Amino acid sequence: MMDRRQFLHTLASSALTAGRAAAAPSARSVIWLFMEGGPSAVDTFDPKPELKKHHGKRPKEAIETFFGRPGPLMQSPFSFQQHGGSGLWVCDRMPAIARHADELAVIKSCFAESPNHSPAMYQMNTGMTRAGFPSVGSWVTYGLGTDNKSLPGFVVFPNEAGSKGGPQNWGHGFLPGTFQATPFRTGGAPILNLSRPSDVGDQRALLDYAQSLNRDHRRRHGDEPDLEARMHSHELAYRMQSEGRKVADLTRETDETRRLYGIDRDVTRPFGSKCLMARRLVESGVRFVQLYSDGEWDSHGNLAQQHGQRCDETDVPIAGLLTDLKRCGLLDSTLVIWGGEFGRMPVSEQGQGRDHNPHGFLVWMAGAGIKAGVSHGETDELGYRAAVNPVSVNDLHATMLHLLGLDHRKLTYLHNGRRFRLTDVAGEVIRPVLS
Amino acid sequence: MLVLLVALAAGPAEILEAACVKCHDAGNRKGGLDLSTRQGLLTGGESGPAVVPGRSRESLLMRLVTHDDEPAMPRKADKLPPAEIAALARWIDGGVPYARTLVGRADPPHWAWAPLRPAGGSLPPGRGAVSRTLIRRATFDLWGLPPTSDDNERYEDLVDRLLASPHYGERWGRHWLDVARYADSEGFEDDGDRKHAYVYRDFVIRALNEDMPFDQFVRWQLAGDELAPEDPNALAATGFLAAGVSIKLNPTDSKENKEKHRYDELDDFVSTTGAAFLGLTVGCARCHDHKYDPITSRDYYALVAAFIGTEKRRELALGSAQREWEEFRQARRDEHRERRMAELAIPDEDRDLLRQSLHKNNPVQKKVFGKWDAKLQTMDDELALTPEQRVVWQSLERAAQAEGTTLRELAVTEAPLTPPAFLLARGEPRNKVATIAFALPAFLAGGKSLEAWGREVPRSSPRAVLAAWLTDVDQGAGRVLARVTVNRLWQHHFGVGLVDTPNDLGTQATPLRNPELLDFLAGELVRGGWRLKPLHRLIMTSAAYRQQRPLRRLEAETVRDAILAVSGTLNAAMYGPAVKPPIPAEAIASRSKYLTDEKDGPAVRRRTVYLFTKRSVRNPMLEVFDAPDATASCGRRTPTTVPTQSLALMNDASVRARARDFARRLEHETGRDRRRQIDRAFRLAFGRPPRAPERAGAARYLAHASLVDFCHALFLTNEFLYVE
Repeated sequence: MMDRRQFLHTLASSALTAGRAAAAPSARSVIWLFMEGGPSAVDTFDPKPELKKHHGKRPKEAIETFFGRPGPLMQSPFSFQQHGGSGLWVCDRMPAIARHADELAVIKSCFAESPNHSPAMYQMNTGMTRAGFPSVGSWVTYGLGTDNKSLPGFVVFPNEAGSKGGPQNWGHGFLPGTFQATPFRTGGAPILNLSRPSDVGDQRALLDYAQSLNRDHRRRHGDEPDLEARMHSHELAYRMQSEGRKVADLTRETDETRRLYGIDRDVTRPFGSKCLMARRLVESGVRFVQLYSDGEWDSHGNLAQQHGQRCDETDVPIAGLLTDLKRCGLLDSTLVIWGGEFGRMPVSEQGQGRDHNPHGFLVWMAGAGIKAGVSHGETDELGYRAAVNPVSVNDLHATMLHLLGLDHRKLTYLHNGRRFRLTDVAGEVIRPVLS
Repeated sequence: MLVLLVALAAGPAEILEAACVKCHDAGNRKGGLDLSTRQGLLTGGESGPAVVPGRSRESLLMRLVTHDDEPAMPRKADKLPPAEIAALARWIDGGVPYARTLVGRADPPHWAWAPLRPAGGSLPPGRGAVSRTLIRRATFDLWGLPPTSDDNERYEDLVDRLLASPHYGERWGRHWLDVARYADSEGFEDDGDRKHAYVYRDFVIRALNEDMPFDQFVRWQLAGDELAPEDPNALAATGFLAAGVSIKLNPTDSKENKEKHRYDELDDFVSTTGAAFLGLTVGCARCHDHKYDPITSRDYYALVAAFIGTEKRRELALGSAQREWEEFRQARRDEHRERRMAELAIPDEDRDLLRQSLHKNNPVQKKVFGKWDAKLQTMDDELALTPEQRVVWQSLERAAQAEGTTLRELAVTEAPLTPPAFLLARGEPRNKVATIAFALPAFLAGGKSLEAWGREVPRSSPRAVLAAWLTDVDQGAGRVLARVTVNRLWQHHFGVGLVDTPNDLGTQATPLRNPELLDFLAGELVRGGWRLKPLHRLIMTSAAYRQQRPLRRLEAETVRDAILAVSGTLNAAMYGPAVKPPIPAEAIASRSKYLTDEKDGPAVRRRTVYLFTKRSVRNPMLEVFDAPDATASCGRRTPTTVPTQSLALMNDASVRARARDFARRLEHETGRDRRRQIDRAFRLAFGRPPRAPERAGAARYLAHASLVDFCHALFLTNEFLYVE
């Protein structure tokens, strides 16, 4: 058997030679709560009194909407209260998250490039609006490897309804395929091909026989590291069949914990299961976990109903995750990120909906290395455009890497004759949100 | 004075010409400085005089070349050796004499762009016994399938037989489809199916099997619609350009957003063309001049201008018989329309408008149409045809129907009105600097004018000119194309190319191993009329090819094809609409639908090159074995070794089903005799009989396991998954 270091080297030799260290890392792992479809800032954590004041009136500035049917300004259908010592405003549909107000750093001045879903999702995940570039999770596992050799380093829970733009959102781009996310599911076997064919006899004996041929073969071919790696990989896969199941087996958690995540209720069970599995994966040493919300924040027609529904599905699970990470001592080493691919317009669409808005939206972070209870940046008084301390997607990515101890200017990969970065030629770490 | 002149000729002048004058001459004047004359040197540039004659220590030039001050000179080059620095100091102290105007010495051109070396290299043929290893290697190499026989065939005959088989085109077509970022769907969130994209894939396979000269293969892919508009194959070839992703935009989308995506599409045309044919990362110059290769942003947008009118063709395109029938039919309809207009006594001025096609923004015409058009409409069977016309009608109709394939959503065409192309600052459609016309990249263009190129092509469209230039070895960039192409060939035969970066032969390419060989092969390609098969033969019969080499894992498609072949269930049907094998629902994480009624039957047991490639619903078996995702040109796959591959081989339902087929095949072919089953299994899976201990080991395992499990275990072996 080849030793583990050699195996890892085979897997990730390119990463090991790339210069990339930054400061000492704050975070060891990441849980990214991707709110697909684009949650509205002014209806969640950044209410705008001006919208209430001018509700129903035409805005002075021309608003460029995606579907080209801008209505008048629309006040939030939700009511807001301030919470905690930080006084963070939180809408009344997120009462559980509101109790964590003092743990969040809310970045209220994000902007992105595309008003279309899939290019915007590609940008939020890879920095580029076109498909085919490595996602943040791929860069991170390329830079840092993983701590669990029986599980993949980068795990994604896609939107059950299908994520817009598909697997290129968590693709490895030009990085080696090793750094591709492994999609997990909740319920049943978490990974594809984890279940044995029903008619296989003793699979251990089958593998042992194949490995005996592999040993002979290797003896005939001396110096071929890939042969070793593949034999090791077969063994790892064999173990993953049980390890993967174990990590996905939420019945191993107490009733209290499952209630904490809302797994006892139909409305919160799907996202709650993802959140609880994310904690179990991070606990097992998985580096990067990305969870997509199921269904749509994409509330064109009836924002109160659609956003309300998404809040109901995710509020308790997310609050449960924060509580649980904290009490397990994992929040100190885990960066939690909440946000979508863009936000929504201050004006109405079709009376009660809101259209896509890449010009101003918010993302919050919590956990490892994050200054709790702060907010950073502002949009204009309507919530249309980032106005104070605008934060680009490159800035968000630079900050994520920084928290993991990676310098976004140094984490590079040579491709087509040039050293590529996640942040291309831009990106500033958002210092004010760091602890 | 004479002494000083001689000294200059031997020293400082050459140093300055080699290191400085290239940037600091009267033409370039970087930093405002011109070192080519004494006057220019003394006047100095933006930072003041470059020297103080007689005082080298106080001279800026010396401080910069000694790196005591910024910016260190010469830029982006090694520091001058101490002897040269000392020579410059002596020269300044001696009063900076000039014997002549200095001329910057150009670097020799980068090897990829230099003229081809005259024929001189060679590739010595190999000799010796033909091993099973060699047969297996050659068969996987040319067919992507395991060998079917190990008869005592001469090796040269084997190579010829393999090259003559249509499996060759399926295998090497797949290599090209990687470069062409080919897929059967649109990309982005809708990712609709392109049901007819396969026509391009079939063109590629056919062209390779027929050994179409590679220069023609390239020309047709870039401009088949312009060069041979009557030839459906030439139209199909332009599927190369159309194969990239397309976003479905909303009609109400902002102009800005539409424009942004159009420039993304243009970038896809330009970048793919550059990577595939020139081995150039042209796309780098979209936002700024290329950092390493001499491609300016202006060069990039001048190439964009070649495609500015190029649109992906989505309407029904007609073959010649169909067009003939359509024209005949239209003529009869026009006659009918005229008769009706006369019958209805429509005023003459209205008739004129009714004869034209309706323009949305012509209110007068719209009104006239509203009044009359419905009364002029007719069904085909209401047309009053003469008996002669009826006969012609029927024969044309039959011919059109017999023509078969209609070409849709697979090709490109030129828009009737070419919009202007713009030079964009930082790649932003918002920042239009100026309009720009098509031009060839200056550093490769050669001396021939665009007008002269234009006279050589049937339609002097920029794409046709680009295609002609790209494939012309003497006056165009054909030498570069030839190098890029033979390097791809070498890479697929040996696992690594003579250059490791097949889509980038620019200055950032990995070092070129064996420049003589690359140029020899490129020359052979050109001398042989751009045919690939003789070159395959030359490479494969060489000593280099026949000697022992590192192992290579089978590619994704080859893993699947080999499993099908060994199990005896490969459906060898060629060509036609892409097939969608079932994909487990839990493996689909896309909004786009993957609809298939196919079960795991003969219809989906085709070679993998015929499977439907949906960009957002990747086939898990292929994805896990590193098949490219078809978002951009892929010149070389990065093989990985990850546990999810092992899981697929152990547990995937179709792999297990093939193990069952394999076992059935053994029983069918060898009966119940264990020894014969084992022998046959080893021959099929590994291309060799088992050694005695292996036979015993297999028998021991089979004492407790099913024949299916035994067959399945062979799929998990490195001997099956790797080729030597």
